[in-house]
Amino acid sequence: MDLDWQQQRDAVIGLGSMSGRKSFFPELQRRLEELEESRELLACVIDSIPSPVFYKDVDGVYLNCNQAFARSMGIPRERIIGRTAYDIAPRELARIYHRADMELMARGGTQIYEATFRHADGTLHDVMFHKSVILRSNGELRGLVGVMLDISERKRAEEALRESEERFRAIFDLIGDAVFIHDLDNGAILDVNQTMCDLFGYSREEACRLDVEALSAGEPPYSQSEALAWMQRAAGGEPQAFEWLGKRKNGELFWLDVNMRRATIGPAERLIVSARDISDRKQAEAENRILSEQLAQAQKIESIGRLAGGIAHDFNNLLTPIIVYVQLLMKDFSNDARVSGRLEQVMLAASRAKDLTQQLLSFGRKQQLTMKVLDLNAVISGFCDILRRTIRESIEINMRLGGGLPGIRADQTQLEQILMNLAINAQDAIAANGVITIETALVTLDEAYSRQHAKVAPGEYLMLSVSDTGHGMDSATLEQIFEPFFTTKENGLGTGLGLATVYGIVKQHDGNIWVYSEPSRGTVFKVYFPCVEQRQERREEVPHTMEEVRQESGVILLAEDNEMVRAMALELLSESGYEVLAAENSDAAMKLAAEKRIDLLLSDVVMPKVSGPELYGRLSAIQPGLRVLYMSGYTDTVGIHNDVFDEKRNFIQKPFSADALLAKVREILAT
Amino acid sequence: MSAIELRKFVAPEIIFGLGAIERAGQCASLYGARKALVVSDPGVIAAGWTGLVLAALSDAGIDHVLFSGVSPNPRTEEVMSGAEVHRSEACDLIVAVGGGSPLDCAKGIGIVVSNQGNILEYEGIDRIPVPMPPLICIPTTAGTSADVSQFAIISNRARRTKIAIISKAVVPDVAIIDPRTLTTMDTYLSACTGMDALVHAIEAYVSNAHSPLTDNHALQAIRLISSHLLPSIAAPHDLDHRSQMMLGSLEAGLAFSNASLGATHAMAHSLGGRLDLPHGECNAMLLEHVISYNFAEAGDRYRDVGGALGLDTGKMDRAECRAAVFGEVRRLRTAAGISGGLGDRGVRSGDVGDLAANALRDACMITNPRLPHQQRDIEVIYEEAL
Repeated sequence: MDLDWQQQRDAVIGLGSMSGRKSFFPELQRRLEELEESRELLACVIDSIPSPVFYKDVDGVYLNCNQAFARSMGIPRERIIGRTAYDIAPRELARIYHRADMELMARGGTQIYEATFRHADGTLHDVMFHKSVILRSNGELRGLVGVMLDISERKRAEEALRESEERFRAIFDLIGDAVFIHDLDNGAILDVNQTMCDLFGYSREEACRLDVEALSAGEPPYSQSEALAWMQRAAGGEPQAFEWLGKRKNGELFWLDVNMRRATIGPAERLIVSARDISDRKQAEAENRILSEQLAQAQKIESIGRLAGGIAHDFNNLLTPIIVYVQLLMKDFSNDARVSGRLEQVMLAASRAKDLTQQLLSFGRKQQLTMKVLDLNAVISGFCDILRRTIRESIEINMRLGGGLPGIRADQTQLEQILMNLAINAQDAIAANGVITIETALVTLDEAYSRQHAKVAPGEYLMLSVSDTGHGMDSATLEQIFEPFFTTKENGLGTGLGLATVYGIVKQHDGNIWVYSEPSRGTVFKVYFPCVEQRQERREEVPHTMEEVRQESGVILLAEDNEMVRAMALELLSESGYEVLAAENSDAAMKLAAEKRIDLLLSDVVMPKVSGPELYGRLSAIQPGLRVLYMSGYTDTVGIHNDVFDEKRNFIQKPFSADALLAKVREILAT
Repeated sequence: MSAIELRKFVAPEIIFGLGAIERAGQCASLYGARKALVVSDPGVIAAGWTGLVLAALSDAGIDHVLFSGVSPNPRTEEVMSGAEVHRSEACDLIVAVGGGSPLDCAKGIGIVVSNQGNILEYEGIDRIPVPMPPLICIPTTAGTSADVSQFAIISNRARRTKIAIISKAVVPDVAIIDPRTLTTMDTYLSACTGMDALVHAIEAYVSNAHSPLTDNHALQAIRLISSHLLPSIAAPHDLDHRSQMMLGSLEAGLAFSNASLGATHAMAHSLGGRLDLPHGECNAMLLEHVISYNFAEAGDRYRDVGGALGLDTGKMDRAECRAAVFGEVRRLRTAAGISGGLGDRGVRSGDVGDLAANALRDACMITNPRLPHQQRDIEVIYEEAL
């Protein structure tokens, strides 16, 4: 029998190598051990996971959990397995968990949500659940598994971060300057703060879509290219500070102080720009400039005025004897027609000279005013005829006088002077035909007006306006019109004192005068007088010619340092019958007073060493009840503002007429 | 006595006797099973024996599912279907009730359940790596003895052959042998299965792998079967005869399971595969001719067989002995009701060539006492049996 057959036979009868039916025990044992090992490993892994892990069956019954979960709950694992959430958590929380479980198992997949968890120690924690369904390999739902992450810390950190973010955002937004954040490379606007929005009028979204051109005046040097140049310089590392003319959304231009620097914000390099609205400052600067100019102007006028005033004072002293002596001569030669005629001419010239000095004194404010409470409209209406006769026919005069206006404290003559000068100027400005309009109104000058006009206090004023349709003036001319001796007329045609006089009168009245003019557009002069509420007084007419001489009696002590005036007064008073004691200074006057009883002291106000009032004071001491009459060429000295003399009673302004002096003396002696 | 050659003896746990079927549930529960696949065929179910088994299982609290799609020669497709049922029903134990077909089908199902793949992959000797689920076999014939043997025979319809699967892994865990089940066999079935058992016993005795471990079982089987076959056919409900027949079948099974078979079975397998003829009938018609063929090599063994058959072969010479055994076998099978030859069953002489070729490849041929030198040898036997 061959070998092959032998093997086959052995195999058939069960002696082959593979014949046996195995016992499974060793293999099963090994398999079981492996399974046990695997099971134990799984249990270890789950238990070692630091985060709480749990898994449930399809009904939400806990199948198992890890140590971390049991610890968090504060319940032993054995008392969790086989229970549901309702057994181990507060009712409200359990309801939430259960609903989430059911939804997860209905939907499949995973579920992440935040919830509250009551810890073993009773505290509530913010947690996040990561859950997933558990499926068999055939897709059948088996339950769910979940991990619980404590996010209390994270939430706290998030909260803190959000608060910090809000804080800084608030600061960013509410800083008083507009802040821009620009991309360093292309200059685009990345973010702006609320102040920027308020200042420029854009919303934040709009602003971030703009380029710098839209926010700028647009014309060089405030256009895109200059802006980019500034940005490039700042990007180079050197902070830049400069002024910029910006443009709001509504097109309005306004000035800004810009500060630009490069900075690192987080991971990126940016350009931080802060811009401050300096409109107020610019306006203040502009107002200052105007005020400075006005002040300089006023000072110039004032110094000239003082000069003129000084001259006028001397002139007055020279004119007084001339006028008085001529009047006396006229009286002497009243029979001789030829002499009287010539004397009249002299008087005329002297009168004109007197007017001239008055004018000089006006703008130097060195004349005595008779201040009364007046109705401006009445003054204007009363003067209307004279105006009409003075102004040429081809020019229409329009009166627009406001109603119910309060009175002003003023000198009527001076008001008329103002009207006359302004009207004449208006006439001269009109080439052929035109209109001069005179208006009065009650106006309120506000803070703004006050800021832009020097030395004007806000309040109610009575406005007198004189406007013409003439050729107007350019700004160069306007700057100088109130200067004495400034004239646009050819040599000899104008004194250049008209407006200077007006200026002086207005100032003496505590008022203000402003002129508005443009070439070919006419001119408006506006004079503002402070209002008063007082009974207005009627004008008094003062006669021009001398009254009849009467014979008087009384002893007059004459104190005058000017020789000519003293001589003139002496003669005049003596002729009238008074006994006159003449003194050239206070000492002499004192000596004379010591010897004789005086009825009236006639004294100059301003004298060297001892002034008129002082002299009177001393003489009163030795002769109580002594009366006094002051005379002076000055008005703005101490006297008018105190009780020493009152314009109505014991003061006479040089140059005076003989009648005036005699009348005054008579008046005072009569008291 | 010469030294005994190294041999192995395999057998299942056997519960033999009247009322053994009622033990089925208890047996199954010992394996910790929860659900049994019960493999049977329509005839057995109709006879009521399957019902008893199901009841016994239920009593033991074991769930069951019945698979009865089994043909007389169990086919590969049926094995695969049964395995699928086992898997999908999540069974963990197999109970086979019936004749050779359900028993071999159940074995095939068990192999596939544990080893996957197709049952044809396990053709041959010792080719089963993983043991099958617990298998309880309850025979209702006497019989194929599949309830105790390490053989499983499955028909490959595609190739029209039968494959033999031989392994200790094929031996059932428990054989519950209840002679009552034989009482419902009809005459023809009793004859076929009885003759099959006789052939098992004779072939095991004359097998060239016979041994002292198997010889006594074989001879005892021959004695029991030859004595009680005809009476049991005549009195089907006589439990005595049926019990003796069942015992004879058991003994035959123990013998051939461990000594294997011979040319008769090889040739019968070939016939069954090719023409789907009943196994027992084929064996019965071939036995005498194979005896003639083998006598030259195993004359002495056949003399013992003759004695067991009740012949006084001690005094005969070889030729007389041969003729006596031949004649007795023929008489027995004819009296049992299996008469005529293969030609009467539709076998043509043109089939003989293929039949012989297949028979030569059968595992049972290996232990035939006279090894055929060529195919022609077997063809001659077929021709004689026609």
